[in-house]
Amino acid sequence: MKDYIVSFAGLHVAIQYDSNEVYRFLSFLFEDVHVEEIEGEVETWVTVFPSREQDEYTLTDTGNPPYTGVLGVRFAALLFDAVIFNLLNKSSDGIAFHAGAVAYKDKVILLPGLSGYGKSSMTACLIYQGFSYLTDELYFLPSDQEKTAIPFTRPVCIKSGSVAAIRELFGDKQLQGTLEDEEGIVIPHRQLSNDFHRVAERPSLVLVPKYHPDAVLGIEKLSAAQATTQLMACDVNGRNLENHGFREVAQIARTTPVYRINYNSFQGVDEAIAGLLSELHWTE
Amino acid sequence: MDKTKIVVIEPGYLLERFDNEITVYHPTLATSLYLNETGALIWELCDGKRSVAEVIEVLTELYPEHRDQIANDVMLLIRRLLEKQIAVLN
Repeated sequence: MKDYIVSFAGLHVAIQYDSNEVYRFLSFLFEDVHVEEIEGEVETWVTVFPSREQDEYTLTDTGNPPYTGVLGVRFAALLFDAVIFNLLNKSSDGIAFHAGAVAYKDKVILLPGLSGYGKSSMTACLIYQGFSYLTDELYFLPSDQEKTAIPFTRPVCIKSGSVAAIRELFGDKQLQGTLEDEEGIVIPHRQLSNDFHRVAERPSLVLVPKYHPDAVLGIEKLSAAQATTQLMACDVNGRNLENHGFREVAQIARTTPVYRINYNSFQGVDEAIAGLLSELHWTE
Repeated sequence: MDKTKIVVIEPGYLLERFDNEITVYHPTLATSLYLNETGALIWELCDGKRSVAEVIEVLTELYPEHRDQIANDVMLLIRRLLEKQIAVLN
């Protein structure tokens, strides 16, 4: 039995496993947040062991019912959920936002959103436009303003409903070697862009993606009060923070421009984003 | 809605003010609410002492030009607060 350690924002989770197949799966998913050794002890374990059924494995995690299935997209999603839950369970040194993030030069765009609003898809769309990938899931802002932000960098996880749009954007060739089934697609981010450098700045811009099949493409500025409400909905570890981090979130909303992009496809998104960056004088 | 009843906001809401707008958040209930300029005014008038009618009356005195709209705005927001269990009528 071996431990595969995932480390994020100074917290660690060990995934116990005992086969090469699981090791390859874990390496595929957690390559950017894996460490060989840590100082001190790991407090939390998630396990992935073979089940009685051939080719199936069982994921166990404290507090959740076990899941048994093949090492596919659903297994990956549940494993990410389990690891992230355990990583953040005791996190109280900053705010973790359920958000994608990309970098433009030395500036970070945060893409906060609830599930289904197109966070990962919009992140992928921005990678296609030349932005550098940081995360499609989680961005941690330490309370200590001197410390750098920390993206949870993982493969880009696209749900089944958005796969066709992503395939159309990048083409089949760039999506080879990905993990794909009826649940969606998990794409190593280096396959979408080899321009990966971990810029861990505080966000210079917050862009809230809002996908809706009937949406008309447009970007609108949110007031600080509106932005605070949006950001509070994406504050993942609020339960560990004083007042759920409300004061800190309000401060971010006061000091960072926040926009919402409404869209129903990627068509025209590039021009809309270029227009926004021009308005913000980022392109000068 | 019985306009003689007093609007009581559930205790524990934190408030952040941004120019004329506010955001309120309840840490235990994990409920947040954005209120525009009008909503912010109504929220602050719902102090646990005023009835719905009194809230309408104060706003009508302040903004007589919007007399026709004020009662609707107040009742709309209070209904929303009741639905979200942010406030009760006593």
